[in-house]
Amino acid sequence: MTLPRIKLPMLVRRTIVKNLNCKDVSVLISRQHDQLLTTGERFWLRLHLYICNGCRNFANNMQVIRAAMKHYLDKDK
Amino acid sequence: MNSEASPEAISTASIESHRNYLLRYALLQLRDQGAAEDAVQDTLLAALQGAARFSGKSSLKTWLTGILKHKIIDQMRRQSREQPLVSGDDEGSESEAVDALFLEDGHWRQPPSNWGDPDKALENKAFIEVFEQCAKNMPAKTARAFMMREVMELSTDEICKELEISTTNCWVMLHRARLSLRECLELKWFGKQS
Repeated sequence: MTLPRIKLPMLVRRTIVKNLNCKDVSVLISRQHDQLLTTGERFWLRLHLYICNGCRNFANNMQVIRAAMKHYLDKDK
Repeated sequence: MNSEASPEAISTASIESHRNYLLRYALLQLRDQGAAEDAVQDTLLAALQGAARFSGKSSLKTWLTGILKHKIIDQMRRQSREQPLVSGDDEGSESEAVDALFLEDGHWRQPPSNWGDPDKALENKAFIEVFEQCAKNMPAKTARAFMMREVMELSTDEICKELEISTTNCWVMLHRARLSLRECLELKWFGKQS
């Protein structure tokens, strides 16, 4: 989680986003909750998450939603 | 016979104690008080009649939930027979609704924010109310698929089959559902906290 974040060169960042933009990433993050992603998908997803705050937040938001659902169902005791 | 390992005794009282949980579960999926109550009532009845089949290998709650799932599916089939969800307002526009959240180059129009420590929100009663409201506000069809996945924990294959939709459509629906629930929580809760 708290890996030191090295600022990647612009060209590398561009290549990563070109292969997988935020919209594609949101699809993968969502699908990750339902199905195992392919190795290639996981690879580009990890790279993208490394450089993109918004998508990292999105991935985290999805986990919160899952936890909230469980919490909501079990709230009696 | 080891008395310590004896299964949880089934009595009307022990079954009844799970009623609220079962009702919340059914209501998330069915979104109709009457249908949810029917499903729960059928479940409790079936549980009492079939008490002998409860092996004690799983918890009573898990066993009851298993029965409830079947009763919910029955109710869903009844619902779609009696009043099919009107297509139009939230169908076809599924992928458009997703597209609307992104710029043309695929960047977020409004990047998701950091929600901080989720436990803090989960402990807050007001958050749970907002969550319930946001879940209720989800478009009907997407919500149905989403709850089948997140509440009933069915596989996407099972969901596609039950809803008679294509796999692709199923993915889009689940994605849209998550995006719309997220938007609502961001707007009504997390955006207001900081």
